[in-house]
Amino acid sequence: MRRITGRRSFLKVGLAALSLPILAACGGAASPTAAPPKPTEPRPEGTRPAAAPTKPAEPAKAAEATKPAAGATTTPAAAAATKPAGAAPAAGPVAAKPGTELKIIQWSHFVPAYDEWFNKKYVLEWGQTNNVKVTVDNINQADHPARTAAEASSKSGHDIFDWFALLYAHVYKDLLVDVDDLANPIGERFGGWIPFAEQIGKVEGKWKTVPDFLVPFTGIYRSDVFKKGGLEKAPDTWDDLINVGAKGKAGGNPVGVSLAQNSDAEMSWRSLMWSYGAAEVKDDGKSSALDSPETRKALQAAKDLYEKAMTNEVLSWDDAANNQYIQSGKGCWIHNPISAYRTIEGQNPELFKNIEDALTPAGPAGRFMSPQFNLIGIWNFSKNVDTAKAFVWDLKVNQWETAHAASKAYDFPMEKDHWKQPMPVIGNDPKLKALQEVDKTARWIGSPGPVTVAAAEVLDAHVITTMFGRFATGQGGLDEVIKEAVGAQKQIYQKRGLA
Amino acid sequence: MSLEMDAAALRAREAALRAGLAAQRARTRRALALRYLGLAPFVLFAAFPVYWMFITALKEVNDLYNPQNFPFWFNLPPTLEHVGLLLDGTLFVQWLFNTFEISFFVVLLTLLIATPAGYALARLEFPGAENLGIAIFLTYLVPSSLLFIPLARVVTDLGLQNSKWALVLVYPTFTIPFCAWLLMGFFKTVPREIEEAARVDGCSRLGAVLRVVLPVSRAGLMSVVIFAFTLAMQDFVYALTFVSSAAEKPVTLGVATDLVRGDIFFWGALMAGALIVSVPVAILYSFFLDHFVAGITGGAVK
Repeated sequence: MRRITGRRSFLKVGLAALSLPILAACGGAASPTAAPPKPTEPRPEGTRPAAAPTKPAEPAKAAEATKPAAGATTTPAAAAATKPAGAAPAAGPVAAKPGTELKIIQWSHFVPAYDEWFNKKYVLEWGQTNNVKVTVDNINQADHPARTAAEASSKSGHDIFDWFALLYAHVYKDLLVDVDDLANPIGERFGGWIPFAEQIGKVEGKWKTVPDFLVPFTGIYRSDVFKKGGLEKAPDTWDDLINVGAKGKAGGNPVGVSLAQNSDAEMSWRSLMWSYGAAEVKDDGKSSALDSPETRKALQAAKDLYEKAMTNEVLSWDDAANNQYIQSGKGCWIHNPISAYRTIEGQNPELFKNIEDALTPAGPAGRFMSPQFNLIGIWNFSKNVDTAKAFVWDLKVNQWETAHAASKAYDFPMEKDHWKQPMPVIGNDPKLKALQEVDKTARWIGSPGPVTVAAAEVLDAHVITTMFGRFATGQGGLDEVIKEAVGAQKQIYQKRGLA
Repeated sequence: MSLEMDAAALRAREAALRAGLAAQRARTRRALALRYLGLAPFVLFAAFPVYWMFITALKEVNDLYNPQNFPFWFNLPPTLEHVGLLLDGTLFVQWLFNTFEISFFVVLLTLLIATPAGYALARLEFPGAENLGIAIFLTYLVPSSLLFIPLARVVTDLGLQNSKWALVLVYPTFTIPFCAWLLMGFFKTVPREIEEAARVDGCSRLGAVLRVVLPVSRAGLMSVVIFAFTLAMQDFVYALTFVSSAAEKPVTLGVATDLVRGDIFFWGALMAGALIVSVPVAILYSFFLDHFVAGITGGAVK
């Protein structure tokens, strides 16, 4: 019998089969299922602000990319704080050394236009002005720990590391130069730092990192779903969210807050916990405060939220899943930075009409939120510390508003004067201006005690999310999950000499 | 009469033969169908990721994220937008070139070192050769997530940080142990007699290896090439920790860095990148599959 299953034949058939869907689809062939109504109108040209990452741009394009986002405005407060047009930039306490090289590493910003401005315009101009060769490398935020460990181990790499959502001022304090000479005058210049910044940037009374920006968690919601559920505005409390979320779930639009081990979940459940008056540790930063009536109330609220308003898909989510959940048109409320809001704004104008953003819901003890944040550290093995300090000064003092606009207001400042209203970008945006109050709700990991290495490890070990997840899904009773969490927490604190 | 009877008998015989042949064909078809039916789940399992990459790479974003849509087909017209983004919006082609360049040199280094190592362990019969072979293999089992920290110092001391040549240096640390062990097993299957015959004919040991042993070990060497190439292509941890400049990145790192931004994943472009890299490798594999299987199983019977 003729062999019909030769490898070449198989490849030919395989390639032909692969090409079929393209041909069929390009030819407008009917899909095997009736296509549902088109979810959006055709995307207008130029409406992808948060969409595509971009290749290193030509100089002309780079300049274009630095235009402020739509809606960006310069406020009196901001104008006073930043360099007026044509004025000399404010000189810092340390001067850059000409003829040297400066290496910076930071995350791949969620807003590609920010990297475009930073990498291809700002650092080039700063480098030319100061006769310094500046190189910027971008890596995914999830890869910061591994890259940091390699640089710390080999005591080489970059001069400046801008960490995302990592308490590395505390973890790497012995490998970082003191930046009191930067952070103190920057704070004085802009009315002081918010308490959150002091907690995450200072170690034992010394600034080991310069706070760059915070990324607040907000309630991004579908106003049309909530109106159907009888709520004309954003849910003010977690109870409101449970009630309206239950109606949303019944109508096929559940709430989505991750109960898996990821950063979003850690920030979200801490926010809920604090708003019910619960805390991880006491004021001393050493004694566990988890075993309390307030923690029990917070856990019960989380269970109600999960059972009444969410579905079990939240148990397997990563940090991107809640963005996709609301972007898909299914979710009615997520707890997230404004990245999800910006993506929908850019990719789905029809859905965006009903998307709103509000502060995190309040609980019986108040409204609290655990933000993510960026910290700028300068390694003590850097051969160019002065130049690194000069660069950080210029970025924080002379460029903050441009940077804020380039990030489309994803990067919120930590200097008090920058919060004067109306803020740039969001101050005149009716959907976002409520976020101008978000600094008042920010709490740090380990709150109400100080930030400690142990608190950072509890965060990394997902002790809090595990506790919430196990109780919400019925895998453990109240006493049981709290006991487990306290045990895991104590083990970490003992290892770190804090218990 | 007898002629008629003979004709009738012949017709009956022919009919029986035809029926027999038809039954035979039916049996063959049934056997073939059953064979393919048995294979189908495995083919589906293996091919589904490729199909998923393909369909995701060509789907509109709003088609991809809408849970009401049938996920395995296009509900909106397909788009080349993600492929365009990958090719024009990132340094994908440069990363691809870097990957192949790194992999080529890693394969070369691996062959140059693992071949004599495997031969020595298989043939020279020095004390402890067997245990040394096992020990070399065990080093392959140390995960890169542990090794990257000490290796970072080595790379820095050699001045290779932030260079793709760091990866050319580091990747053989995991390709050589396994490949030496693989070749050791393979060389054991080569009959000593043909090597001895070559030496009787005047070859030195090196000459016998080059002229006799290596040519008959083509399958083993081919599997080493494929294995080292694949391992070098799929690494992420070492690339992440030793290379950070966009122009020096291999494709695994570049794609993850530029197409995962914060909590936003550019799934279409990510899948397009994965597809473009994996399909040529899969085709390459299919051509050398027999060699690869022979190479991997070569040492098993000795």
